[in-house]
Amino acid sequence: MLSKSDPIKLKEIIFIIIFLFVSRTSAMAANENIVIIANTSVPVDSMSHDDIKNIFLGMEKIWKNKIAINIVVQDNSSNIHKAFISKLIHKTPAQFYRYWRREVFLGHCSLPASFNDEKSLIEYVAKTPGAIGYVSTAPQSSQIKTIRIAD
Amino acid sequence: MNKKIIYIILYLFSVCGISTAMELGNVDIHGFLAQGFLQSNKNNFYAETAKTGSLQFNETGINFSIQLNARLRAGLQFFARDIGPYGNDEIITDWAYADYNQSKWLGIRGGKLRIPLSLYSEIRDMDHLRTWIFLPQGVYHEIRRDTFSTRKGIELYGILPANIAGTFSYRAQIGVINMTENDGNTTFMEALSYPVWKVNSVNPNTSYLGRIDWLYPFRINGLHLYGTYSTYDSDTNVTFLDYLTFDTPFESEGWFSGIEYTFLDFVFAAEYFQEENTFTKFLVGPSIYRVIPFKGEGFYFSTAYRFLEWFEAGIYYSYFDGDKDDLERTRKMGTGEITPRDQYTTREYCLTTRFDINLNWIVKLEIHRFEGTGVLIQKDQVDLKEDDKTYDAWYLYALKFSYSF
Repeated sequence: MLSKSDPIKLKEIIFIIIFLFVSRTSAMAANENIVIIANTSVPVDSMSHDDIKNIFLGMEKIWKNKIAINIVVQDNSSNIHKAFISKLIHKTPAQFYRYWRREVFLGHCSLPASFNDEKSLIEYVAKTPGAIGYVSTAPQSSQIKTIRIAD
Repeated sequence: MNKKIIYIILYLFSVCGISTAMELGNVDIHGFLAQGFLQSNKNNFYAETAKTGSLQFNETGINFSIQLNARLRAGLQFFARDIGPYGNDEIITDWAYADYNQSKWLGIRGGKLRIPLSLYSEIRDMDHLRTWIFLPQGVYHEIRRDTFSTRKGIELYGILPANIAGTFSYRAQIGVINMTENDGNTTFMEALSYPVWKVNSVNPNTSYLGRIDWLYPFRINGLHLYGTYSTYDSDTNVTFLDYLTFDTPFESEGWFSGIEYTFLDFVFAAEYFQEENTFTKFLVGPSIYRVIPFKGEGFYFSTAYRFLEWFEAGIYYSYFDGDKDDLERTRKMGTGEITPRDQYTTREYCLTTRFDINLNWIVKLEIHRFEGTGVLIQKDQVDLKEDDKTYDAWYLYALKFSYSF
């Protein structure tokens, strides 16, 4: 057990804790450019932060034109994924993953489609009605539109 | 269904390297398997945990679900658990329902539904979805878990975005809870006033639940508040003091509220519940008496932090009082029996560690310090001593492995 006569050990432990905390938080603060993309069948051109959150947390399931919302995400290791989840969903990747696992194990929905490269994600969004995802650069595709994030 | 079939399916999934959800046509398949070890220095925490410990602690489940069209989804989950004399690996239908989503404001589910009493009540059977092995007993009383897990009935749900005020979510359920004279809730109620009355049969009537969640209020991201009101009643047949048997209605009301705040890798949570239970009348000779309702309450505060991608730790303090107004204690004291407050209350301190080996495998190691035995069944689980040390602090150690896909 530590005692007041062990200030060096106590400082080392506090330093380690702060280091772990900062290293985790700095990983989340990466300054990534996020572009929301959707299949052209999606009937919106802009979304608020709350709309984005509600959709990517599965709370909204159907677009107003009655097409099912098909959420597409990137792999946990992706910096864009970390930035998107942190800035727009306000969770960490682990919390986001656990949230969706909870919804799946309660039978509320299926896991979102997940890709570890943006090319595959873009191809999926282009061919899937109702699909919405996020990338680092707006793609050039007649089957994809960019969704503006409204304040 | 033979429980071995579930075990074989899960074993094949694990050894064949199936680490993600299966699909069978358009059917999603997920499952989990958890095995733990419990040991306490005294008292039995449901299983025979005192001294040498117990491996009689496991959970298994598999679910199948399908999106039939844009609005309609259906699925079911089979589940089996064992902790001491409870569960005994009997396979049950954990949930099974159809879900029609008309719009974001209105959806309807029908079938066997999980009961959303509190923050984590719907997922308490699934170890991989939470930080702790045991949720705080002050609100998540283990022995009553099976009684209040599911309801056969109908649920209305939806979300109501409110601009800067955030998003409101509502859920309303009506149905019947599966209550029996041998379930955990009945066993606990009997034990509170043991040996005054014994429940011979329980016939549950319609029960109701209403819940409101308030998400990210006023743009405070990561903040989640909720409140739940739940009521149920049943027709029971009881025996009073071993000689008088009669029918009496039983009513219960419960209120749950809580807050969860997520900030970076921190998760803070606190919840409070209160319940009021009443046998509305009983017949003694030519007279009918109204029994005074007895109340329980509990609360907890918790915090968890994910230090590394594979390591998370958490602590909580929890308090449970099975007899808030001291009615049973007062009654027993009237008979000359010494009944310390610790028999009805429990203060709990918990430290947990969770190691995510990969996306599928998790190991947890946890220690609990309990003061009081209010969460236990006194006559079956408490290590009664003559040297007045029955209610000294006692410890529970838990280790658990779980696999999910």
